[in-house]
Amino acid sequence: MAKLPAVFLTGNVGMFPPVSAEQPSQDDPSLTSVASSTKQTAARFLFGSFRKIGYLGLNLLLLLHLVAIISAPLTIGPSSATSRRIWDFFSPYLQTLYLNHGFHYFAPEPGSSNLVSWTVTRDDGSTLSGRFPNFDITPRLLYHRHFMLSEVLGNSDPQLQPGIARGFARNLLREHNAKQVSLSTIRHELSSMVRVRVGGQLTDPDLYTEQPLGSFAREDFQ
Amino acid sequence: MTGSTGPLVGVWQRISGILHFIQQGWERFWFSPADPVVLCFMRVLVGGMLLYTHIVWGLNLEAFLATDGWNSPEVIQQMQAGTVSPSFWWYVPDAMMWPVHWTSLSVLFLFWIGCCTRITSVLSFLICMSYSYRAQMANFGLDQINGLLCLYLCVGPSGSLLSVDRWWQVRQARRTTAAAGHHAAVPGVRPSPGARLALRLIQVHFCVIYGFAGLSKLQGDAWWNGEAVWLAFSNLEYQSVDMTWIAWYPWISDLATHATIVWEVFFPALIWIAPLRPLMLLTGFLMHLGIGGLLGMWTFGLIMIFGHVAFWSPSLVRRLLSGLPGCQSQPGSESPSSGCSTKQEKPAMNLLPSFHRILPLLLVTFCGCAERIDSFEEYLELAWHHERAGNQQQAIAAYQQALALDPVQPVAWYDLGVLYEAAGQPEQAVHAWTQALTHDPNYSAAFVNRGTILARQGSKELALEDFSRAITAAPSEFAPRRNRADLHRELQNIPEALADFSEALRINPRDAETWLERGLLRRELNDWNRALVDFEQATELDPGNATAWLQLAHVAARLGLTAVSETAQQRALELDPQQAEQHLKNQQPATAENAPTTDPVAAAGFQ
Repeated sequence: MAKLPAVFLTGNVGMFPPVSAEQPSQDDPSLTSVASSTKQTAARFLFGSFRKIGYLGLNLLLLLHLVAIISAPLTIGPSSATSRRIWDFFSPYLQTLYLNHGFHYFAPEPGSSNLVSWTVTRDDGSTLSGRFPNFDITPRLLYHRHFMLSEVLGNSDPQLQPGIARGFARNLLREHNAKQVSLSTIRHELSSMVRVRVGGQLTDPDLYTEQPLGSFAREDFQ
Repeated sequence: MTGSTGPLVGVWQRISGILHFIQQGWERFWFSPADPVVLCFMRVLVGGMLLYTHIVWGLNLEAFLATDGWNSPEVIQQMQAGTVSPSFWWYVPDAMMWPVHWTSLSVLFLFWIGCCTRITSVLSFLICMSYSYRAQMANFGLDQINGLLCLYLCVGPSGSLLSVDRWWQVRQARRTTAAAGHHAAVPGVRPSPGARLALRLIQVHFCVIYGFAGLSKLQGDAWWNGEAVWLAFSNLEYQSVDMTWIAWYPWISDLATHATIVWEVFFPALIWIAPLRPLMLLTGFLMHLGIGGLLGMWTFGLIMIFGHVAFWSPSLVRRLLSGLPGCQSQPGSESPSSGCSTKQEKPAMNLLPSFHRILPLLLVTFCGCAERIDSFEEYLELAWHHERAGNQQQAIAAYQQALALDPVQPVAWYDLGVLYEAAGQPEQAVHAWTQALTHDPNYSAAFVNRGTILARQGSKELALEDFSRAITAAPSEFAPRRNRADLHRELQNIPEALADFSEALRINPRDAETWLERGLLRRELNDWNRALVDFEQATELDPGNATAWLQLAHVAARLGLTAVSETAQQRALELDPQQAEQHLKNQQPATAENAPTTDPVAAAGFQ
């Protein structure tokens, strides 16, 4: 591995530079006149007060920040009315800082997954079918992004699902320069250990349930 | 007076002492100056991940961010209604996407190499947040952790080391000292309260993450019964390595599940206990390595591990980077609360040499604990598996083995009976259903099926008794009523047959076949008007039934309804010309006997 130049990293903690000469201390012999001494004292008092207020403000902000970051995951159901009220108060702050997350990873338990199946018809009448996520999508992060899309569609609120499906259809029409597309969501149930032990596969057809979402034509989006 | 205020003063002094102690602890925890090397090292790791994440967005930028992409603006705006979701992408026209994307990548690159870090860190956070909010439907844990780590890296001096900023600072200092004729000195980097604050914010946020990740899992049964890790591994869409072999070693799933819960739930407490910290971090490292390597979420696994670096001691980071010149460990630089020391890391490392001693024992345990098919549930699952695959005889054998282990299972007996019947072994089927009825005397479906076989075999009285018992067990079921009606008709018990047909139609008025059968019975009794009504119902419910149309034509002709008869006849001709022509040729009214209907006894079929 190529080494970086010595200066790139060097940082000897503890090597404090000398105190700057511009910073007058209380015992500065140059402060002779009473007037300038009073001014200095007032300035120090004001600066000190601001510093104190700033420090108190920082601590208060810190305290509120801690409550806020706890309120976000606390609000994921089931949740109490109080925690929801706290969330209501802090949500603009958390949303602005993109900290509005529940962190309920694989909770309450890992469940089945959702896929999206599609068939596009091009202008010449030829058709092309596909499904995502599929392991041809690389790199893995891109695969995972597509997996999240299919999960959102499969688990979405019934009121939102048609809109999401419409958006997906529009993208597929654009990507394949097609005139029509039909979409389905496929739920892939998980297999039990016993089922696998007796010879079942994770890809057994009965583990997949397909739900058609409809057909969309290019004209629908013009 | 003095006597009464004395204790109060004492109490007050005590309280103020405690408050002072808390205040000092709070200040030390959040603001005691810390070596920024940890934060800077995290900037390199997180910055690299941010850059990679955004390069991947760019692999299909239009699909993720354009107006006609996956993340339809209408849907995203609907999802984000009533929330604050800042993203500069809402103001970028599709035509300008690529220039904006390239600019974003440039900023992220500058942040990664630590150039103008104070500015690029804030810009990087805004970029990360903007992409995430705009492409909300394609987000997952990685984006959340990217965002929060980047945010906290803005708080501290994350560019004071390992950065272009540092390189520039040193270069300038050398130039200045060289110009003054002094020996070129390398300027030091002060321990910084900002570095401490940023690291503490990351540490505390990670405690919140793991605490809630663990607590939320406690709502699910699978995290209690040890199945959760299996469920994660058996998810084909997550899986990047085939881990289904765990099915034969459920204890691995059990242990991993319980360990995950214990680790996550107790992380917020145990991570602050210095001797346990290396163990907690090592466990976390392995867990996230597993998530990355086995569940295909490398990016998520890595970003969590990068977050753990906040818990590392500066000396450890410096040792790790010791290959880079000038980064020697500073023994005096570590504050007591800054993290794990070299001494604390040793016990975890010392575990490794002794591992080879217990390896053979582990292997023996592992091989000896392989799960085999030896329970009722497993044989039942095996039977279903063979049924799905169409291996009838193997399925029968599996049911037999299951029932040998637990013979008091009526449903398994019933299913075995169905399999026997399908395999053409009615005697065994009757035996199996009898067994089912022994263990559940109210098993109506078993009565129906046994009755049907008995009727076929000529034991009509016994069959009648079975249907009657099925009706008693489940009075609102259609099948036993319908089967008994057919049998009554066959036995010429006409009033009983009519009553059962009527009751069956009350239970299921949508069954066209039953309307047809009752119509035929009524026609036999010369009850023409009622027969006409039944045939009309049958044709309405099943317009593709040629027999029903022919019967309607015949009865309508008999009643002088010529138009109705002709229409029905025409319809029958369209549907089944052969049958209709035969009927017309013979000019014979169809009778119950020659009407092509289904096996009267099994009309309702097996259940």
